[in-house]
Amino acid sequence: MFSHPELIASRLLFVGLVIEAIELWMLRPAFDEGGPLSRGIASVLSAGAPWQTRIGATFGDGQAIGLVALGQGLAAAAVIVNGTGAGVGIAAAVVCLCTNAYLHARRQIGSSGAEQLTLIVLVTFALVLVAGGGEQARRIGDWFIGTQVILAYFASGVSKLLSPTWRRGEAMRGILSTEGYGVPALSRVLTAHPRADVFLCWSVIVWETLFPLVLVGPRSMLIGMLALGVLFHASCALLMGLNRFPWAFCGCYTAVWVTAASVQSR
Amino acid sequence: MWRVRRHVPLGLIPLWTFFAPNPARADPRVVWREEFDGVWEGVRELHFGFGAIGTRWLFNPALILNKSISDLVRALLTLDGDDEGRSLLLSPAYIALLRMVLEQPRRPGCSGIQFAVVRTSRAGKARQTETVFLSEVHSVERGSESAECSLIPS
Repeated sequence: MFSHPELIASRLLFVGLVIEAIELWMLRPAFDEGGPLSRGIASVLSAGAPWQTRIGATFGDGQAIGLVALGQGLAAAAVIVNGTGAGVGIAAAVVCLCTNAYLHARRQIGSSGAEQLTLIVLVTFALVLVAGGGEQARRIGDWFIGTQVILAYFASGVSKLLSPTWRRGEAMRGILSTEGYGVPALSRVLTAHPRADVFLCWSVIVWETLFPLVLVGPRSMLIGMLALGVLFHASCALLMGLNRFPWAFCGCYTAVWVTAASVQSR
Repeated sequence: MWRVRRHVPLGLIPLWTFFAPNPARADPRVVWREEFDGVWEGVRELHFGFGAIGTRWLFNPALILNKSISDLVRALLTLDGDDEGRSLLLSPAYIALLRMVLEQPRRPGCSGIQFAVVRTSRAGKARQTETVFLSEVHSVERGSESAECSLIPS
């Protein structure tokens, strides 16, 4: 994603940042006094934490969040238009790092894996810039992000493999039965057809656990695994409302591609 | 690993398991009630709504608030399971949830407040509810609408 800033696929992550900015703009009142994400709540949650994790935790109410979210939305839009190859795009990506780090620190709770990965990518991009921003630095940045994504899927797959609920094929109907993440009607369908649940659970386990094969398998396997990844995240967004994951994870697939190509060229 | 993660800001050391090993099977909900002269009123819910199924694939701000509540509940139940006793009352998760409840509009004359965590699921056709945590009773100053109460249980 850093090696090929000209690609649209390298800019998908910033679409997620625009969406986050709009969501936080809509949630401004929650950050005011009396809201569930107020400074008072953040102060309680960060009270016993190490000093470095308290930075920014209690700074700014809903108005400040709105301003920072607006800045992040505009900066991310600039990256989508210009890419991170030069000038305006690089500056806008650095602005995204600053705004995103603040928004993350200020919230203290409620973050998702997609937000975590987004922040890791932005910090990595800053390190790439510190290292000169040249071709080699960008490639190393891609290797790091590509490895992060591969490890994320692998760790998640192994964790599911160790879980009796996932192995028995009962996880999907449970998740889909919740109102927060699911579609209860679909859960009832899976309950009525348990073999479908077993198939879905094992599909996820196998795909996640075998994902590291993209590093050593043929190019067709790489393309197939990434296509399954797009399908997986799109399904999670549609069925579970995990709307930020497709942009964060699929936005890193160019880094997975560069990592796999580098391993296979050696 | 946990100790290292705690000291690294912004969650930069990830821990990816995505709904494993224990996938969500129920929604954690925080409910609360007020006491008037020794009589408890009906239970109300601290609820921020769920994203609409038709639009949440694109925009889902409710997820941020619900995940926040879910993070606090998970932290609370982890401590509760550790049998920490009354030191639980001083945990950030307990105080944060209590404060959120106290920020809700209260009726005049309320003298005490209590919250609970319930898990609801729709695995069958009917909604199933299970209470998994019950807070202490905290006295509040009569007529006060501020977010202050005695942390020492009454």
